[in-house]
Amino acid sequence: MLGKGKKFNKLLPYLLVAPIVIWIVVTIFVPLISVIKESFYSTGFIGTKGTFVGLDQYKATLTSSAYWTAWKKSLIWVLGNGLTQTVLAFSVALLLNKASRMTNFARNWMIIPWIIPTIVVAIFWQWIFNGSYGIFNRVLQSLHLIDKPINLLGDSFWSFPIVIFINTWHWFPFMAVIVLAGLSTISQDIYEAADVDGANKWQQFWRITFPSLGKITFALGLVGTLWSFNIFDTIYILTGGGPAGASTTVPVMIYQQAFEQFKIGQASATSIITAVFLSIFAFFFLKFAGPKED
Amino acid sequence: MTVVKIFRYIIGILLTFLIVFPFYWVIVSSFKPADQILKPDLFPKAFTLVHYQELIEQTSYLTNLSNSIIVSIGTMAISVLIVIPASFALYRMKFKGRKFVSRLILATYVFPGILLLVPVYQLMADLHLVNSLFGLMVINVTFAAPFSVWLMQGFFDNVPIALDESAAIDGAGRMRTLFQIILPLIGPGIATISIYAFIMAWTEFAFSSVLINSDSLRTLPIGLNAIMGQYTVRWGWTTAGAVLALLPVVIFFAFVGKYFVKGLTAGAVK
Repeated sequence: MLGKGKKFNKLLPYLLVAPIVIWIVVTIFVPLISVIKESFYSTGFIGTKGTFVGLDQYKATLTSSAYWTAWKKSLIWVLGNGLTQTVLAFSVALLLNKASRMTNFARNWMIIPWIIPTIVVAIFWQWIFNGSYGIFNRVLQSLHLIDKPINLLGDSFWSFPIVIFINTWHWFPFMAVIVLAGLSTISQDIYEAADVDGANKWQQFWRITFPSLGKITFALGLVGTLWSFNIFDTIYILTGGGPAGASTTVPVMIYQQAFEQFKIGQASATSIITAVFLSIFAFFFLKFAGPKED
Repeated sequence: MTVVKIFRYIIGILLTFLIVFPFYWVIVSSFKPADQILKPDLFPKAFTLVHYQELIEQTSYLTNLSNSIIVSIGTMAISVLIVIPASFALYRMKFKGRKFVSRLILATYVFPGILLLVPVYQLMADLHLVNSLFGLMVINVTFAAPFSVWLMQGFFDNVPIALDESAAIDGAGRMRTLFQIILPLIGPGIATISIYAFIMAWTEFAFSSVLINSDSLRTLPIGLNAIMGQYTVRWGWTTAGAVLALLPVVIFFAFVGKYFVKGLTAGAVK
């Protein structure tokens, strides 16, 4: 009896993690294997069978200028979002890093832009930036900054920065919560000591706050970069990758190859190549940017 | 000192405006009569519910809404059911392969899901889960559960391990310890991961747009996107639709939001 109980206790942790592990294996690793397989076949529509083409599709992706242009857009996307979100998230977090009724209320509710569906975010800003009667154009007109309304989201220069701005609006509250969490771990005594030593707020931020957040900025740097690279819906809903490819990042390109041009094989090859590049990034990030442990 | 204070106020007001204005503007617009909605009046001169009425009567909004509710609640339930036992094992037990499992989960939540869009479609087709709300729950759980496991760490760490030990001395098995001692203490954690799963499912777009092709099974984001595409000029419907799509999450959030933000905070510092 006792022996049986012991055996059960040994098995128990495996039984407990089994559901999530099986779930992940079936929905991520099995599909991943099928992507690898498809990348060697010229499959068109989903459900059809293609012929074996070896590495042809890898060559096609790697030599297409569209793919590298998409990477350029993706880099601008990740850097643009990273920069604007970091600035906004830190501003919000530093403002709210004080306990009072107001800040408690704001802390809970500022995350609202992050919890609403992307489609709603898209409607919000399409309505504000609308090229004929959007309030933003009206304000610019009444300030005499422009004569005629501009369709910012349809403009080949402005559309991409505007989509980055809209995505920033959607995501910075989430980042602010994480930064706030990091700030709450820094003891107030250090700041008081710095005050006594005559350090101003600006020096305190760069000398105390920022270094203390090392671990969190590191995690945000890695997870945030990969999450932000991965974003597809915001761009697709707002511009569909256009105008004329102006906002076609790598994920948008993969979607278009698979579901608009019906080149499943090609989309699979593009996915694999992209995954390899992202893994290289993650490897170097973990190796060189990891928090120094002493 | 006062300069810093004034500066803080100005930044605070600007940030509040940035977050609040889009909500205000769309909500106000959705109540304006059709002949006034295109005018830039910050305060509406008349009030109407006609856009809401038309949206509910003439589009598939209500069907989309109920689909979204089913998918979100299903995702939430499955996610909690697989995350809690896994977290219990990972954060409370020593076993061979623990590190491997936690790395696997970590790798999953940074994995770019978009790369899986094509093969997941094929997988679902093989399993006859294309055009099925259950199929959407399956994939939503995949993306909600790993981050939830990570979030749970903070909550488990806050329950002293001495409690487990004294329960063991009293002769309670591990599962009884989980149900009777730990679960009651990690309520806020369960609330946090529930909301996280609900929000993930409620807002999911890419997979829903690919995996569902019949009108009657569309979720809210997809339905709304279709309404928007079909009637670009009908800003009354579009704004009313946006308001109704954000309302359920906001109401849900009003009750449990403070646990969620606290939970995210507790999870993040670990």
